[in-house]
Amino acid sequence: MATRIADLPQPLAAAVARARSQVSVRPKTLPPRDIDPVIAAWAKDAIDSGALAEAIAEVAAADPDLA
Amino acid sequence: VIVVDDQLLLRILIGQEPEQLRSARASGVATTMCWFYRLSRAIAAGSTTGKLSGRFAALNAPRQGEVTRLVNELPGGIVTLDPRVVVPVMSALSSVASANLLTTEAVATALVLDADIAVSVRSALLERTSEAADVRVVLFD
Repeated sequence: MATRIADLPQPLAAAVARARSQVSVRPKTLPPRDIDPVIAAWAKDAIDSGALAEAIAEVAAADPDLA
Repeated sequence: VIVVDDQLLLRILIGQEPEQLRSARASGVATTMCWFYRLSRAIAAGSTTGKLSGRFAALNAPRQGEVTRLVNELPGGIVTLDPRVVVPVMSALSSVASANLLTTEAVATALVLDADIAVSVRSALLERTSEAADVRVVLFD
């Protein structure tokens, strides 16, 4: 993705240009984490079952800034 | 670099992400404070109430603690922006599109990192705001 700063309106373009000059992100690989298979399976089930989505929706309902 | 939402973040943390997302994040992965916070808060709340609570009850206490640590100890390889960098962009973005904190931070982060946003759920507000800022949103489900 390449968002052309020149295509953005001001003052957004200037803010983005200034921010990009302050950030240097190099590709990083995530080393494999040693996760208990039970925990990994638990988290996968929480996602796949929709239980996590429901918990997130409850947080969002309580706080519109997180919706 | 790609900016991921909370559910995709958890998938990455447990190594269960879609193959397309794994490819898309080959040059780096980032998230936002709001998505990180929302995930942490959902897990914390889910440990006592709601649909997640039954699943928590199925884990013993040490493993419940491990779930919390899994979410709260974000690996250093996952980029989050310093507020001193992203907040001015969020402020400027608000002159282009009106959105809530979570959406404004997500789009501003993508703008700063020149990244796409990867989401697990469509959001009309996010799509409207990202379109106004010429940022692409990709759905991974």
